[in-house]
Amino acid sequence: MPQRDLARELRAARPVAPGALRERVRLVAAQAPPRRRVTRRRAAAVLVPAVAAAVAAAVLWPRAAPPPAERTAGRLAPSIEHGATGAATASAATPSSAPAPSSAPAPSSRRLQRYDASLELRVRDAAALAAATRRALAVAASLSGYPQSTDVSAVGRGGEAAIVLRIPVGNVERAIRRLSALGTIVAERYRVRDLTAEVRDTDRLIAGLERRLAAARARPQDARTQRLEDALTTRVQALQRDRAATVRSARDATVRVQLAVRTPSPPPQPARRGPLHGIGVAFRWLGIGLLYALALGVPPAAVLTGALLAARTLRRRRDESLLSRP
Amino acid sequence: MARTPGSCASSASSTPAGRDRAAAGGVSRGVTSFAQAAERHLDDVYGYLAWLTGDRFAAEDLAAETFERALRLWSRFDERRGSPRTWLCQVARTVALDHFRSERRRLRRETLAAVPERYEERLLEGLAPELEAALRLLTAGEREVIALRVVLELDARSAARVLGISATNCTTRLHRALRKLEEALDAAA
Repeated sequence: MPQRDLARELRAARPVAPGALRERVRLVAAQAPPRRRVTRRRAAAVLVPAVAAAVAAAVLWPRAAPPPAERTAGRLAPSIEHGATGAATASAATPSSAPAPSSAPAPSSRRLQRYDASLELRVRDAAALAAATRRALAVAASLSGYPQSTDVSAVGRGGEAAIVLRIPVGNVERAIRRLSALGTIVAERYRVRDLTAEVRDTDRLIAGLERRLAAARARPQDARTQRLEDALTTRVQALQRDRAATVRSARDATVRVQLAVRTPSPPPQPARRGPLHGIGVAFRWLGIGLLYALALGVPPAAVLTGALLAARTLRRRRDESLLSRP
Repeated sequence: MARTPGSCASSASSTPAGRDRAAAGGVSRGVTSFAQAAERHLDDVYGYLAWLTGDRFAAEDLAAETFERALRLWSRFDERRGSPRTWLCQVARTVALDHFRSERRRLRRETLAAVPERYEERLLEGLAPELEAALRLLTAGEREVIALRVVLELDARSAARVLGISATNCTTRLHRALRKLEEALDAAA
């Protein structure tokens, strides 16, 4: 039978829906179509990617930078070192962007200590530099101290000053506190060395020499004995001078104050930024965002697509197998 | 086929393609439009299912189920992606595949208990016995493509959309099915 006749015959036998079915379908069609509901599947399709994106953003978004003082505190925390001789040395260096309470260690009132402090301060301008220098000297004077050296240089809007003050140890804490308020602390260092043991050793040595000197004087005097007495006397006097110098150095603390004018930040350079600068920045951020989206989204999307394709292929094969029988 | 009074069916809708165009262009979204589409394409859906299943009674049930499901999914129907007839045939195909799956499970259970009885009933009224016998030799898939392309006169693109395959593949499948049918007829003669 030719295909055209075959097709004609097949079309002629086209089935017509029975009346009962027609009525049944009319009843179905007369119902109002159900409104779209938010099914679990739809909600999951929206919520799962949204939650994944939020989690990814929370994990990958760069955290807010901590303030400079907090950032450097760990690196530059005060440390204490003990020397082999038993002398204790405490040192601290604390850069800070704002006037902060000083972390100066307290001197001991019972022991002899050599106390050295160094403060690096930043002031606003040359006028503030001069004022801070004057106030530093006034602070030293008011606390029974004195300036050991003062070096001030001002060039244009900049300048710096190096002041070395000698302050009685009992007042050094107050002095450092007041000096710290003269500007922004950039760095501070403290060095405390215990001298008590050294002085005691000297005392013992002097006592021994004096005993030997007394014994020499008790002996009959001759030229040799006289030379020995002279040598011992000279040695005792030298030791006594050293001891006095040591005690004197422990009486006053040395405070070095470095003042500097804050380096002005470079002015903005609008000339280099053309009218399309904003667009360039926007595209840069868009590119960064796109890169992140690609890096995060492509692997799961590829896996999902592969799974969907595999499921679709499997379903089609099953359908084909269902339809492959008479 | 019955026409709804006042519908947009025109003289151009006397052919299947014209019916598609009229349905796609004139049916608005809502209760009435679904009713129009159901009324207009009921015979097509029923015929397609009858050819696919080879069982007129099953086709009746499946056609009713198809329109129930289509009503639920009507909000998803997009006229720009295809005519209502194509879309309804897609829904009908999904319903029929579900039916085949459940039938296969049922047959497995029954085979375990006893040999299932086979009812030889007429596939379609008005077919020559030798043609019907030849059609019985075709697989459901082969009858399906003949129903879509020859009986319902869907174009290759629409039929391929219903079958979920490419238009070329659909044409190839049709040619094979027709050749097999011709061979069966020749063998019977």
